Amino acid sequence: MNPSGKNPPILAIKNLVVRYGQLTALRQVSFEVWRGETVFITGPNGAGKSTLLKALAGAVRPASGSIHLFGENITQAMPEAIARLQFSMVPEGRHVFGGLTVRENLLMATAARRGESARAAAIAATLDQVYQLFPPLKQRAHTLAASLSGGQQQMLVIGRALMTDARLIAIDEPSLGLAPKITDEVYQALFTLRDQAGLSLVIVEQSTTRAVMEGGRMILLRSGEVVLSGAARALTETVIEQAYFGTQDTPKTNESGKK
Amino acid sequence: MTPIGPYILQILFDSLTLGSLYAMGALGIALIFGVMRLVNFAHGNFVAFCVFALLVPSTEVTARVFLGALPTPLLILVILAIGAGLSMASEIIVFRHIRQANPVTMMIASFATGFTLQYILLFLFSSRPKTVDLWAGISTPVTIAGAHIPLLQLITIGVTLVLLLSLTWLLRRTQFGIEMRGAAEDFMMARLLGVRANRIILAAFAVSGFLAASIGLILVAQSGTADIKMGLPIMLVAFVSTVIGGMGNLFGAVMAGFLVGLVTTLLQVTLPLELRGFRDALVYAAVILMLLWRPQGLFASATAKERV
Repeated sequence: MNPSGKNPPILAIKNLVVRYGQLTALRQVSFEVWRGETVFITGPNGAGKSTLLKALAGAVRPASGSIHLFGENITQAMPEAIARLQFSMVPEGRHVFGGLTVRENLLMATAARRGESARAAAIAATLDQVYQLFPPLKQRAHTLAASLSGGQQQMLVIGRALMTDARLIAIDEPSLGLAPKITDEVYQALFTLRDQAGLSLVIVEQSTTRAVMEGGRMILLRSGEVVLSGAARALTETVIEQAYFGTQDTPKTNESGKK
Repeated sequence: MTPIGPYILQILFDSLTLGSLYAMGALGIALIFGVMRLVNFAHGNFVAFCVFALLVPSTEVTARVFLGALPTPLLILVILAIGAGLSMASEIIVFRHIRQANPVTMMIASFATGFTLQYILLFLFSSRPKTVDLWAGISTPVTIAGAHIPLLQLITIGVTLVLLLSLTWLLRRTQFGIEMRGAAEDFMMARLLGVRANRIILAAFAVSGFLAASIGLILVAQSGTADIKMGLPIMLVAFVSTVIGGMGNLFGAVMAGFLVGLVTTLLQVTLPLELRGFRDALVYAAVILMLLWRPQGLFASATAKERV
């Protein structure tokens, strides 16, 4: 999990600042991710979690700071160029292509594949894996994605991320809209890929529960700043709560933590 | 009394011919709107530009053919290539640089592009319409089940069907087509998945220009004249069709194009003579009613997302 001496991090974010007009969404955020690691980004609403993923993927331009992905400076790179570095981001709000079939949605995600992995056989193999992981997607392969239920759409966007052949996947709230049992399966699948194929994960979850449950490293954002960072299981509940709500005492109300 | 069968057949062919032009125009506009939310008002000028590429620049009334002297198959290919090339050039020279600007800015830029093209033609050819005598005999009527259908109508409908079917195949069956449809629906998500924005947009412009050139060729064959404003009336209707079809919905744009063609032809034949001059007013009145009833268009999908 930790830096193994000489290996450089696959993702290095340094002093990242993102502004929307007058509003500063991220202030001097810095952290690193190493190969095979799982990093949970948690924090209350408006903490800048989604903005962080968007900046990573090139969907918003940072005002200052730097992002290095697999050793390349991608701070001002275009989204499609970043996707071509075998990085895949699943943004908030699902974003399935409703007018495309389920299968077409999955094939869309092979746009960034290169060389061997772009061959039809390699694509068909991953498609099989995704269908195995999410049988409903196989059953509905030729129906329009718009007609899927919320949970199935969530399966689709995660399946799509797997279709990209990424080495690093960043997911905004994978559990959103999924039944707990399916959420567990999704996490199981991601972790299997992580352990077998050396995939690295950056996962945004509003709640800290999953991070503590699954282990891995947790980075807690509040008001655009990193307020806590460490191995999720090593952090005590009190420390997490104080960081989450920004209080010294036990939180009086939990308005800022609610949806 | 003429028998009713041939009469209806004639109306059907008239509607399909007019609808073909509208559908191709609407598709050309919808393709570009889909991938970059640009309403390209220069599209009609692309049509005229392709037609004038046939001629030697001069201000004479009778046109001397220039590219028009090429053997027909080659001529068609060259004109289609000019349409695609002109459209791609407009993207590379103008639209690419203002892609992040708001839609109104892009629309104004497209007006400016259109007017620039129009004035280039005005300068080279003057505003007088020119007689172009290409493909004599193309309007010879063919008799089908008692109806006299001009050969050109059959060609127009046939060409449009072939183009629409090949485009459907491209969009449905190829990886490139899937990427293009996905990009038209949610451009940022497509880019996040690695779809190359510039390539997709350039391809959309190429296909759009190709369609504009097809319209130009059909128009010049139909009317036998070249006029620097010849693309505009069709493009206005084509634009309306994309709105009726649901902005950005390619299938809807095509269907609406044919629908407007049908309504226009029906009004043409059913209106009393003294009202016929108001045909287009009635068509547009119907458009207003339709939009009041369904502002999102007839074929708008429930999932169409606004791009932020």
